[in-house]
Amino acid sequence: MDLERKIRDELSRMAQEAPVTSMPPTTRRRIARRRVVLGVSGFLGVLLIGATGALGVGALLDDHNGDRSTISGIPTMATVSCRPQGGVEMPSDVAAQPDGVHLRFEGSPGMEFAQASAHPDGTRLEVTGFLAKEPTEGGDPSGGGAART
Amino acid sequence: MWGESPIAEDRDGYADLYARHVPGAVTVAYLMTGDRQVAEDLAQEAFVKIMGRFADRRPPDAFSSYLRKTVINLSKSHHRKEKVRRAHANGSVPADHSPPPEPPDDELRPLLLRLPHLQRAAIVLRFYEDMSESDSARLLDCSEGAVRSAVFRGMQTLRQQLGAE
Repeated sequence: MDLERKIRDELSRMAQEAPVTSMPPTTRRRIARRRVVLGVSGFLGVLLIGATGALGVGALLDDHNGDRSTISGIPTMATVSCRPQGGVEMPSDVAAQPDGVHLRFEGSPGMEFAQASAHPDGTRLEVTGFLAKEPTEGGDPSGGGAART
Repeated sequence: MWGESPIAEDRDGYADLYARHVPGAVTVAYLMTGDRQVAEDLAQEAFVKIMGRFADRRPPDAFSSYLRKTVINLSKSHHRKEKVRRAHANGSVPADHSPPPEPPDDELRPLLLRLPHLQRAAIVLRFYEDMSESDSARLLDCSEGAVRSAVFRGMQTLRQQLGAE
């Protein structure tokens, strides 16, 4: 007789010796207890995740509040077009710096960071300095410019 | 009182589920451990464990394999605990790779029960449950290649120890 047959026979013999079982009377209580433990730990987990999330959102809002200050009534989250001296107009997203005076420009191609301040007439932004990643054609990488919202 | 009557109504369907699935799980547990009492305990523990995770609200087709998987995992934990307990009883540290002592006779059963967990489980699932390699792999959380290799190595060990072929 080959080994596979021997193994099958032996396992079948063993299976016949396996005990016959019926559900013990405490099973329902054990299941209920496990569900309570699972429910409580799940609830605590959700609470923890919620609290962490709330803290994160709070921190985000705090950060955002800093950005939301206005400069002379000019909306501080806006897309403006700015023209470096002699260069082409480039759109850029503007956000107010927490100091409430300067604006941060981001997103324009070739332009990494720029600062601007509000023009006294309250309708224009005056760019005080560009820091260009690369000089733009016809433009001055470190020049100034004006932007209008 | 709060105690449950053995003839309480099976409103939640637990008794029905138990009667349908646990006897098979007890058999698998017995094939894995060779101990009737332990087999019964492991199967009941597995049932409580997966019912505690609301398994009765999941697709009923998956219940049986889920129960078998839990039984096999519990039998692995049982063997690990037993190994440590025996080692402490003998006052020695368990050695993972030390060869098992020679069996007292050439019967197949003690040799089967001495096989490492994965090899024994793979052999039980293949030769008793007639499971495919892919189903066994899913149940044992390993690749089909690992199942094939475990069966091969298990049979090789048995063949060597039986002096057959």
